[in-house]
Amino acid sequence: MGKKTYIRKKKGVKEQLSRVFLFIALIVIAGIFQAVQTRFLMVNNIMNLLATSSIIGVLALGNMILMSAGEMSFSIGAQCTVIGAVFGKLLAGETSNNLFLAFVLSVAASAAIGLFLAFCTVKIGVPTFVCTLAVATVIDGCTQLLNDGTTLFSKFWPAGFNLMQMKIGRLVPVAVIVFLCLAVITHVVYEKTRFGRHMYAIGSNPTAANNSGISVTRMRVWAFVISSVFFGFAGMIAASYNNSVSLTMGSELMLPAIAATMLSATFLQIGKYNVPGTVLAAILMIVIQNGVISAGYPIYVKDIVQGALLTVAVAAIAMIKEDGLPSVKLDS
Amino acid sequence: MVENQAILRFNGATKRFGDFVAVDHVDFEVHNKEIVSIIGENGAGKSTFCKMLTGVYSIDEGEMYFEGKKVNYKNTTESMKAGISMVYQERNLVGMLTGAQNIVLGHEPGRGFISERQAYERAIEIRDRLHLTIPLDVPVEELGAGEQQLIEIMRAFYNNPKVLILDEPTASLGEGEVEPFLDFVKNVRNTMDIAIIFISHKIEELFAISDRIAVLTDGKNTLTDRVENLTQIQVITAMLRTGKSYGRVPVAEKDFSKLPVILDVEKASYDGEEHHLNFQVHKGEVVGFYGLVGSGRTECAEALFGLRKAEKSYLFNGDTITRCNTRNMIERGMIMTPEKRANGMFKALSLVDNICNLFLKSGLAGKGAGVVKKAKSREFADRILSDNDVKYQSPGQAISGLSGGNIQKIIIGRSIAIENISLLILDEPTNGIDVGAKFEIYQKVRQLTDDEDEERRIGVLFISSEIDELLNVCDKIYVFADGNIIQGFERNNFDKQNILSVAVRGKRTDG
Repeated sequence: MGKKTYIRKKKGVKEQLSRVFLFIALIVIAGIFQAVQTRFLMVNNIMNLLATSSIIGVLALGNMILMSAGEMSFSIGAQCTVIGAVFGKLLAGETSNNLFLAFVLSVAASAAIGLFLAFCTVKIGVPTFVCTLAVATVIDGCTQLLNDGTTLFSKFWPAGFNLMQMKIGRLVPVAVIVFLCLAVITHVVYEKTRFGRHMYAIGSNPTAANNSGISVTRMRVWAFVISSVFFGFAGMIAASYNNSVSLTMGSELMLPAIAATMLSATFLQIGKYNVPGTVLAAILMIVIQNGVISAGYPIYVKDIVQGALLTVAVAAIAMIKEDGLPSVKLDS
Repeated sequence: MVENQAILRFNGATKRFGDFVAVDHVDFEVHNKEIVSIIGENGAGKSTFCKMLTGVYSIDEGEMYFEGKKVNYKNTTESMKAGISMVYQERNLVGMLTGAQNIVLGHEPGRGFISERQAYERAIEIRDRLHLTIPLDVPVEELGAGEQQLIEIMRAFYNNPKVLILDEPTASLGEGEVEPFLDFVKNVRNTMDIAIIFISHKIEELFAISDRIAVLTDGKNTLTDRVENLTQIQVITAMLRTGKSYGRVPVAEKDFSKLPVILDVEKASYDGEEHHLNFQVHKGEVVGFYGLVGSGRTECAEALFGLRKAEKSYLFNGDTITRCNTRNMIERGMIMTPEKRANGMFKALSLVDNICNLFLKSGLAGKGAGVVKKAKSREFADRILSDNDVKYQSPGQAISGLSGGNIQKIIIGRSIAIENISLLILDEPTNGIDVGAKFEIYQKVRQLTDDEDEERRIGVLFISSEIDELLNVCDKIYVFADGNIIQGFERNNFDKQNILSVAVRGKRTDG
C-alpha cells in the first residue's frame, strides 16, 4: 500500500484572512469611533456597551442554537418581548414579589413556546419560515394584551427586578456576567459534549446524522426548546436592564441578533456557527450602534454599517463555502 | 464446516413498491473473506436489494440469515449492531468535523464530555488496521473526494462489521483514485475477517476485484458465478433486459450522407473537463444517446442547449456557436425537454397556460407589458392539444391532473411548435409512462423526422436509458461512458449486446 497520493484542497490566503475578519472589523470600527469621539473607549462606556450587547448576545446565542440545527426563526424578537412582558406582569402586582417564582414561570412559558414551534414544524411539517412568522404575529398580539397596548412598567416591581442594572464592584453590570456565563456554558456544550456535536451534525448533514444513529427529530425539538428559553432569558434581561418592557423591545433586536449569528460563521472555522464568533459579533453590532450615536451621526448610519458588514461577511462565506451554511443553503 | 457456511444468506428476497417488483425472488449469499459484486443496469434493483439487507427497506418476501440465524432488521441501527455496515453512494460526512469526529459520530466516547483523545485514538486504530495514512485531525471538507470516501469506509469499520456493503464506491472518485481504492478493498478482504458486497456498474472494475459476480436484471438474479468461470460477454448478456414487447415503429430509410447536417459537434469542455463528443445530427434523423446513469448524456445536451456552462464550438444549421443561452438557442430552433417532467411544467397552471407560456413573446401576448391575448391563446392551445392527441377534460384544467404520457405529449407538442424548429432534444421522454403512451411518443418522433413534406422534417436527439426503445426508434445510436462518446452505431449495425458492452466497459468494440 504505502505510497498513495490523494488530492488535497488548498487553503488560500483569502480564506485565512477571512477567518479573523470579524475581529479585525471590530478593532477597526472601534478605532474609528475612538478617533471621532475620544470618550468612546472609556471604561464606563465599554461597560455600557457590554451590558447592551448582552441582550443582543443572549438572543444571538439562542438563534445560533437554532441555526446550527438547520432552522431559522422569525419569531425571536417576539418571543423575547413576550417573555419580558410575562416576567414583568408576574411581578407587577402589589403583593406578587417572588422573583424566583416569576423567573421559573417565565422560563416555563418560553419553553412552551419552543415546544409549540417544534410541534408545528418538526411534527406537522409546516416550513419553519412560515410557521415562525405566523406564531410571531400571535405572540406580538399577546404582548399587546399583557402590556395593555403600551410600554409595561410597574411601580410595584421589587427592588431585585433591576438586578441586571446593578454593578458588581461598582463596575461590571450583572447583565454582562450573565451573558458571559451563558456564552461559556453554550460554548462548552457545543465543543465538548455529544449533545452539541450532534446538534452541529443534524444542521450540517441530516442524512449523515441519521445514518449515524442520531435522532434528527429529537435534536430539532431540543433546538427549538433551548433556543426559546434563551430568547426568554434575553427578554428578562432586557426588562430588568431597561426597567420597562416596550412593545418593540425584541423586534428591534431581532435583525442585529440574526446578523450576529450569521457573522459568527465567518469567525475561525468558516461555515460553522460558533459561540466566540457570536459574542464578538454581538459586541460589534452594539459598538456600531453606540458609536454612531455618540459620534453624533444620524441613527440610520447604524443600519447602513451593520447591513453592509453582514453583506460583506455573507458574500465572503458564499465565495469560500460552495455549499452554504446550515439553514442558509446556497443552492446553485 | 465454518468455512463453507455463508455469513449472510438471502433466500427469495422480494421487494415491491406498489405494483412494481423492484427485487424479485433473489437468492444471494456471501462468505467470509469474499468479495461478491452485484452488477446491473440502472434501476435493476441493486441498491434496493442492499437496503433490504441493512433494514432500510422491509422484506416483503424471503428469508434472510446472518451467521446462520434468521434475522429481519427494522432499521440500520439494528443491522449495524449485528455487524452489517453499508457505505452509501451519497456523501455521508459532516463537512466541518474532522475525520476522527466523523468516524465516531453517533458513538462518541466519554461520559458527559466527549473525550477527543479517545475518539482520535479509536479512529487512528481503525486507520492503522486498514493500513491507511489519511490525516484525521482536519475538517473533512478540506480533503479530496478519494480521502472522504476512505473516511466513510473507516466509519463503517467502527463496529467491526462482518459484512461491508459498498454502494458504487468508485462513482465519486477521480481517474487516479480508482485503482488504489480497489487495491485497498482487496487488501481489506485479504487481511481481515470480513465479507464485502460491492455494487457497481463498471464491469472492468468488477472483474478486477470480485471473487463472485451476481447479475441483477429487472430485479431478477440472472447469473451468479465465480469470476474465473465468467467472461465479460456472459455478464453483459445476462444484464440485457428480456425486452418488453413494444410494437416496432416504422422507420423510413434515408441516405443521410446526402441530407443537410443540423448539428455537428466535436468536443466541449464543461464541469472542468474536456469531453469528446464527436457526433452529427442530420435533417430527418433520430439520434439516440445511450449510456448508464452518470455517463454524461444529459450534461452533453445541456451544454449544447446553453443550460450548462461550457466552453464549446459547434455547428448548428451552419452557424458556429460558441456562447449561447437557452433563449437564443430556442430562437435558433433548438429546444430540449427536461429529464424530469416536473421541470417541464407549471404544476398548478392550466393546460392553456402551460402550452402558451413558451410563446408569449411571439404573438400570444401584446407588446409592452405583454397583456395575454386570451382568445388567441386558447385557440393556439386547442390546436396543440388536438394535434398531439392529448386526452384531457378541459383546456382550463391543471396540468398535474393528467397522466405522465399526456403531460409528455403536451411538453413535446408545445416544444415542436416553436418557430423554425430544427432540432428537438428529448431527455428520457418515456420515463415512467405506460407502454401504450411510449409507443405514441415513438410514433410522434418518427413522424417529425419522416414527414411527407421533406421541408418540415427536423432532427431529434433522443436520450434514453432503455436500450430497446433506442433500437426501435433511432437511426443512429451514440454510446456514452465517463462523459465521452465512445462509439456510434448505424441502424443497420444495431446490436444490443455490443451497445451495452460499450456502455459498461467504456471501450469501443470492433466489428
